[in-house]
Formats: sequence, structure tokens, C-alpha cells
Amino acid sequence: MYGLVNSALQEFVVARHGEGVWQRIRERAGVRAEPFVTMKTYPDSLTYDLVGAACTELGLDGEVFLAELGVFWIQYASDRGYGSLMNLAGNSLFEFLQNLDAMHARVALSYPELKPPSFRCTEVTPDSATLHYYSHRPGLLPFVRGLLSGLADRFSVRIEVTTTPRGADGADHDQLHIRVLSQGSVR
Amino acid sequence: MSGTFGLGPEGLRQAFPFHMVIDLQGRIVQRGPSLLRLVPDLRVGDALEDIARLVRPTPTLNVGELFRSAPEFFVLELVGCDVLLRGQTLAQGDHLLFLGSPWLTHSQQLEDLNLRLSHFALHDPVIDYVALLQSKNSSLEDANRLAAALTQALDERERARSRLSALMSRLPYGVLAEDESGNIALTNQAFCDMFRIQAPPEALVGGDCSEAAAAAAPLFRDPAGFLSLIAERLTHRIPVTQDVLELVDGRVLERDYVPVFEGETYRGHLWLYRDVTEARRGQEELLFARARAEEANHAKGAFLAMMSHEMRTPLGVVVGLSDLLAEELSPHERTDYLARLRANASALLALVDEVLDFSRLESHAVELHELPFSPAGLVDDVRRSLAVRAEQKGLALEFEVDARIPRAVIGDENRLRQVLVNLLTNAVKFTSSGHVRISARVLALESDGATIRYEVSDTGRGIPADMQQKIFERFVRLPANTTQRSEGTGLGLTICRTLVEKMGSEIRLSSAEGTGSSFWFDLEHPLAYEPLPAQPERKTWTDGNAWSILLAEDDPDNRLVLTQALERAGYDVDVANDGTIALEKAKALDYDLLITDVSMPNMDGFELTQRLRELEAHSPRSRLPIVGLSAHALANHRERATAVGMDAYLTKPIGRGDLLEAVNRHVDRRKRVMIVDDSEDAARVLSRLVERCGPVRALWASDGARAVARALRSKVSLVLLDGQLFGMSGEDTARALRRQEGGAELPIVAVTGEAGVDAARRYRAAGCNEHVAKPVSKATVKDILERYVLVPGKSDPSPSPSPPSVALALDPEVSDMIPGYLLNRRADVARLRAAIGTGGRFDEVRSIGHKMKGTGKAYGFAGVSELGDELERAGAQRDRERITELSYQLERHLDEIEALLSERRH
Repeated sequence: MYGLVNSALQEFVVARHGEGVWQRIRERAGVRAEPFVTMKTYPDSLTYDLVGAACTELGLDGEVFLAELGVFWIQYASDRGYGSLMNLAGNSLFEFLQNLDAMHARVALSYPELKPPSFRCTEVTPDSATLHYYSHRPGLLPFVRGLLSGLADRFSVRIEVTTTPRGADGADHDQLHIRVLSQGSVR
Repeated sequence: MSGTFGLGPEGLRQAFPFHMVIDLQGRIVQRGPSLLRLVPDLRVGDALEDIARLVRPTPTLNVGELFRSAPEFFVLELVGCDVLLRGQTLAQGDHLLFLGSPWLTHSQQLEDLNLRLSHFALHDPVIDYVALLQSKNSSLEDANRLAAALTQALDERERARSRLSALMSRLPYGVLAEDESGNIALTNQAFCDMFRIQAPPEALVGGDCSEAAAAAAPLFRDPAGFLSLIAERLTHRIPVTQDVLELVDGRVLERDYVPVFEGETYRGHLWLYRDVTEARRGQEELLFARARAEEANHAKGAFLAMMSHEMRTPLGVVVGLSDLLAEELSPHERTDYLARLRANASALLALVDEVLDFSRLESHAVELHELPFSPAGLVDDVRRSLAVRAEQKGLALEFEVDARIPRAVIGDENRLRQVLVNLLTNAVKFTSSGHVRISARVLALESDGATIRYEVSDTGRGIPADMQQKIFERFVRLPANTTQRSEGTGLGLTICRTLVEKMGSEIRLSSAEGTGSSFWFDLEHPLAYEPLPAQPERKTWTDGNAWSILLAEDDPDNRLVLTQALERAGYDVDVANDGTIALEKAKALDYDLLITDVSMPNMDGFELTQRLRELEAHSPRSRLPIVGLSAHALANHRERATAVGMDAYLTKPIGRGDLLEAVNRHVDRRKRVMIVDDSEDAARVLSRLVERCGPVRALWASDGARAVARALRSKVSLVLLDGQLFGMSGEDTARALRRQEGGAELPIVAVTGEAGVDAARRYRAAGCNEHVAKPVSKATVKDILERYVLVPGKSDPSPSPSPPSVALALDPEVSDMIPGYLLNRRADVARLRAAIGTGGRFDEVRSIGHKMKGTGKAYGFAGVSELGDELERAGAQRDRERITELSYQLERHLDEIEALLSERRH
């Protein structure tokens, strides 16, 4: 996992719970006190440890924490200079989701060690779509749900998401079924 | 299809959405859909040069050249949108194709140009390039953030370093921190100073600690021990405080060792060095002072034990003897016991005096009284005071006074005497054979002062070296040896040292065991130019001679004490060892006072007094005042003293003040007139006449030889000389008197049976001032006395109105009461003298005077009334001198009354 993700985790905890809580989480996870380097690859286990420690320290369910982190990620990436690239992906939620995989493929060029997830958007109607989420990393579906919520905020729409986790109905990937509840103004 | 390169128009639009095709005239013939987002008003037919400026290959190329150079890399700057289009040209027939995309340098440009992913061909790497740019920006941000954090950390480290540096430089400890590799991590200036390292502390950082230790080792007293202790500390890595290290230069260091661990990991250690030289010295001094205090405390305890012993011993004797005295005893036993009682009480008194003196010195209550005195006289006095004791021990008492000693210097004579007596007493006490010696030597003589060394030495047992300082300390006595018991308070030398220090000097001692000791001190005395102070007037004759006192006392110590006290007060003292000797001396010589111990061998004081009073009653001699001294304070003794005719009775122990007061009160201060006549009756008449004429005392010499022997010695003011004397004639006597030293000035009046000018001439020729023929009237005597003795303002020591003349107007009615009345008045004389003693009961004097004033005339004694009136006034004025004088007048007046009454009876 690139340092950007760990930085997002740190920022999220510090923004919501303060520096002291972060330090406790870091110590609990046995992570050294040093800044994360955005372009450096850290072991996935470090991120999982931090998430585990955060859940323990904050008394939160892992899915809830990851979902919130997903919401935060959208804003964080945008603020860290990726806003333009995100805008490049489209003017609406579904356009964005349809370009999501191409976006990941493009970004992967500059993150040679990135093992990005893969997305496919199907059954797109003006009010609904299905996002297919392929990842070798387990347990991040709640994070993707949080990402969808964050994106919905970004595009000012209210959505409802239901999931068909990997394994259900013999599927080899997770599916997120999105239904738009109300449209906001297009950004 | 021309211009589509086989892709077809739609294929070309999808594969190259920013493409553009021009013809040979340079006009736009086709453009991609995304190019229209950059240049929205681009129309087919527009000239290329109107919408774009060629940047590469060469801005000056014309269209034909572009066609010829194709395929070629191109960069076009699109007019109006500030965007560079980058790609390659491709010529096909009369069409030139520009295949390219916008050249973006920042992701923000995508938004500025409102471009989306769908506006780019899927193969276009521009998006990747923008993503890479963003990665670069992220990395740059990271780098900036890290650089800021690093700067902050460096700043913080610098602040911490300077704080630490300031702290270290101010630390009073030498600090040396070693890292885990044994290199110096930190040190401070105090450390460098402590080990005399010239380099600044920073220069040592990084150096090898073991090398530094080896280099420093020679500074320590035990270099090997120093190094091995370091090794031991480093092996165990346990904190240790206060390793003590002694340096060869005498300094003492304390060192703490503090290992530093981070968790379980050893990170080095800290050495803290402290210079404790001063502190340890202070501690040593403290310990020394404590030892001294304990020693002093011990000495004090020993002193108390010794005092208890020293006091209990004589007290035991006093108590025991007192019990014995209550029993039936032979006169000899009684006398013996009394003498022993007195001796023991005296010893007690001396002990108490010494302790009190010491106590006053300790509380700084002693002031020096610096007056002129004669150092030679003082040293001689001291010698004389110890002469008897030295002689009793068979010691030679040597005495040396430098001939250059000034006659009079300023100093506290009494305190100096006390020191010298103490030193000389010790010398006598601790010397069993050989000599003791007292000397005064001039070390320096200036025009205004002299430095005199007073020294007392002996050939005694000497003082061990380890005792030589201690003996000056309080309560310390030389240890007893086998032959001599330690005695005394152990305060004598402390008192001496303190007194000499008060005088601005210091007692020094040189002594060797077995050969003797020598104590000396040097005093700087200012010279006294004025004569030595005259002795108090009431004690002396105007010619400077002292009043003379006969002291009858058998106890040598008491004799010494009393003699010294009297001599210091300016009296001449003659001593008699028992009553019989005293009686002989009193008969032969003319004393002004007799002080007699009551208990004496052969003849006691009561008998002596009785015999003298009888003698006076039957001879022309004047009444000698007698003061009795006794250890008996019992009332019957006092009554007996009065009955036998003592004027005062003092009980021992007798304070110096009480003694002198009694002496001052009773000593006969009247001027003396010597009557030289071999007829006792004639002498008695003349003597009575003389004494009636004023405060004059008549002495009697029964022949010329006695007169010559005594007149000057007895300090007479006038000689009344008979002519026809048995043995030496009057004329010869006059000549002999004149020849004596001081005799030239002595008034001599010849009172002879001869008359006429011839006789007068003869006696004048023999040296007499004048000649009077017998019988002489009272008026003549008075005239003579007034001219030679009672000259007002010349020599009368107590000018006062003449006592009232005796005029008796006796009332027969009261005549039988007169003896009792007179006896009571005699008692009044004694009461008067007692009343003006210590404290002064002047009310009693007034009361006595008042009664006398009121009763005298009633009995026919007007003179008694007059004296009573005077006494009442003198009492009111608290005039001691006048009361004393009046008491004498009263006494003489009573004598005269009784003489007259006696004459009348006959």
C-alpha cells in the first residue's frame, strides 16, 4: 500500500479524534513515529494493523471505520492534488464510475508497484448502475461503499447502495448496486 | 479517401481527437472533435497561420517546406488558448496531417481547458503524463513537508543543544557522557577545569574515553585504582554515587556513575565529578570541633567531679570539726580545731573565688582598669607573696628586674598581679627541688612606651608536650603523679590566658619533662609620665607615708591574704605570728590599727586586746583601734569582743571589701605628736593636753634613744622634747633626730624645766624649732599644735570644727543615771560606726543623733547635744566622712567627760 493511503488514515484519525488518539493507535499498531512518504510502498499489513488498532482504540466496528475512511478518502485525494484527475473522470457519478477503471489504470503508471483494484460499471441507467469490484485485498468492500458515499457527496446526489459480496450467487467479485434517490446540481 | 489515412473520418476522430488536416495552401480542411474544445471557432477553410503559430520544426518554414519535411515532429502554439499542440506531421498527396495532443504541464490545465477523459484517445499517454506530474507534485509536497519537519527538528535539536550547553556550563559538576561505544558524547567546562584540560569541551566530543582516562590517571594518587574502579563500574553498569578519588595535588573528588538505558538497551553512561575538597575539610573541621567539644564536655564533667571532691573535702572537715567543737574539748584541741576549720574554709573560699573569677571572665564581665603602676614593685610584691611558701618547700625564689624597667607604666596592676601570682604559685606547687624564678625584662623601650616580658620559670617536673596546649584549656589539670595530688580547679591557667589576652598578649610556654617549665608573655605598656597615683588621702599621711597596721595572725595563708589586701590598699603592714609577739610590737611601736585573729597560740586575740586596753589605761599611750577577726560568728564571741575593747569584730571568711571598710573606719587617722619625757606622769598630762586640743594623737617615748628610733618611723608631725632625759639628753636627741633622713623638716619643740633666752638659744642650736618652759598651759599647747600640726589647709586631713568643749552642768537629780547614760553613748559610738558600714544605715545615724541632741543637755552634757545635732544633720546628708569624724569626736568627748567626772570624784 502506498504511503498516500496511510497518510489518509492518519489525517482521518487526527481530524476526527486528535493527535493523541493517533499516537496511541500508532503505538498500538507498533508503527514508528515518522511521516508517511506518499510515493513509498508500505506493507499492506501495516495498514491493516493501523486499521485494527484504530478500531480497538476507538471501539468501532471495522466496517464502520472503513466506510468512514472511504468517505474521507475522496476529499483527501482531491485535496492532495488528485482533484483535477478526479474531475477528468467525469461530470456525474455514473460517468465517473464508468471511467473509474481507466482512471486506476492511468494512475497505476506513476505507481509502478500499485496493485490497484479493478472496477466495471454495468447496467447503467439514469437512476441506477452496478459497480463490479475486483480486488486481491480482502475486506475492503466497506471502504468501497464509503468511497461511493464520498463520491455521491462530491456529485451532490443521494444514493442507496446494496451489495452482493463476493461468493454470493457464485460471484468471483463484489457487486455494489447503486440507486440514485435524488439528483443534486451537476458539478 | 483522401486525408483519412485509411482510418475513415470516424476512426481518425476517435484515434486522434485533436488532429488537423491542411491543404497545400495551408488551409484547414479537417479537424478533430477535441481540437474544437480548444479552439471552438475553428472553421474548415481557416488558414493555419491564423489559428496556430509553428514552434517546431522551424517557425519560419512555409507550408510547402512542411509538406516536404513530413513526417516531422511538430509543436504548434494554438492562438487564443495558450495551448501547445504536440505530435507529428504526415503528408499524403496534397494533404498534410497534424497528429497530436495538447502538451499539458499541470493537471490543473485539464480543468482550465474543460477536458475530460473521453476527450482523449485511449492510447494517448498525456493523461498518464499528467498522472506522473501529479505523482511528482505529491513527492515534491512530501519532500517539502519532510524538509520542513527536518528543519523544525533541527531547530528543536539546536535549541535543546544550546539549553543543554548552558545547563552544562553552569553545572558545578564536571560532566562526562560516554556513548555505548565508549566515545565522549558530551562534556563541560567544569570537567575540563577539574582535570586541567586546555581544550574546550566541544573539542573532546568523539574522543575515546578509555584513552582519556589513561591520560588522566597520573593526576590521581592511586592511578591503577582509578582505572580499575572505572573498569568495575563499566562491568556492572549499576548506578553508583560518591566514589571518592584523591588527586595528587590534594584535591578530593566525588564521582557518580549513571548508566543510561533505553528500555533494556544500554546507551552509554554519565560520569559526574564534584570537587569536595572544601566540604570534606569543613567536615573534618567539624569532626575536630566535635571532638574538641566532647573533650571540653569531658573536661567539664571532670571539673564538676573534681569541684565536688575539692569542695567536699574541706566541707567534710568543716562539718566534722564543727561537730567536735560542740563537745567538751581542751583549750589546745579547741585552738587546733579552730585553726583547721579556718584553713579548710579558706581553701574553700579560694576555690569559690577562682570559679567566680573564671565565670566573670567567661561572661566578659571583667574590665581592665589601666592606671599607672610600678612594674618592678609589682614583681617584687609577687615574689614576696610566695616567699614563705617557696621557703617552706626549700626552693630558691629568684627574682630579676631589668635595670631599664620604667619607674611607672600604664596597665592593670591588679590583674597582672593575679596572673603572676598564679603562675608563680603553680611554679612553687610543681617544683620539688631547685628554684623558681620571676623576672621582668625590657624588650623594647620607646619614648612613649615599653615592651616588658614577664616570665615565671621553674625547675619542676615539666609539662608533657601533649599537655602543653591543653593546660590552658578550661578545667584541665596536670595529671597526678605518684608523689603529688592534683589539686585546684584547673581554671588558673585559663584565667591567666584570658587575662593576658585581654591585655593584648598571649602566654607562651616552653617546657621539657623533668627539667622544668617557663611561662612568659610580653606586654606593651604606655609610659606613665605622671607620678604614681597618690594613695587615697584618708589612708596616708600628707608626706606620702602609709598608715601602719599591725596584723596578728598565726595562719600563714591568712596572713598572706590579709597582708596583700591591706598593702594593695596602701597600708603599711607589720605582722605578728601570735598574741605575745603582737603585744610586744604594739607596746614598742606606734601603729594606727591592730587587726588580730581571735584564735592564736600563746595569747589569743581577746587577751591581747584586754592587755593593750589595760596598758593604755595606765600609761600615756593613746587608744589603739583594734579589729578582731574570727571564724566564730556566735553572739557570745561578739559580746566578748566588745567587752574586751575591740572596736570591730569580723567573722571569716572576710571579704576584701568588708576588711577594708572596717580598717578604713577604725584606723586612727589623727596626726601624731611624740612626747619625749622620762616622767610617765608628766607625759600623761601633756599627752592629755595635746589630745584635747584637736584631732591629734599623742605618742610617748620614755627616752631619747626610743624617740630617735621611732619618731620618723612613726611618722610624727611634731616632737615635744623634754630636756632632762635619762641617757641621751634633749639636745642630743634633737641633733640625732635632725641627722636622720627626713629629720631636717621635722618640727621639734623643746618643752623643758629650764627657762630663759639662754635655754632657748641652746635648744635652737641643737636643732629645735623653739623652746617652751614648763609648765605649759593648754593654750600654749594649742598654739604650738596650731602652728606645727593643725595648720588649717596644710595638713589637717579632716578639717572640721573643733569638738565641743566639755562644759558640765550636772543636775544632782540625775547624777546616779549618768554612768548608765555615758555607757549608752559609748555604745552609740560603736553603733554609729557600724551604721556607716556596707549599705549605710543613715536613718539610724539620724535617730542616734536626734536622741543625743534631745538628752545631752538634760544630763548636763551640752557638748553631747551639740554633737547629736551635728550627727543628725550628717546622717540626713548621708555624709560618711563627717559621721566618722563625729564618732571620733564623740568618743573623745566622752573620754573627757569621764576624765572630768573622775577628777571631780577625787
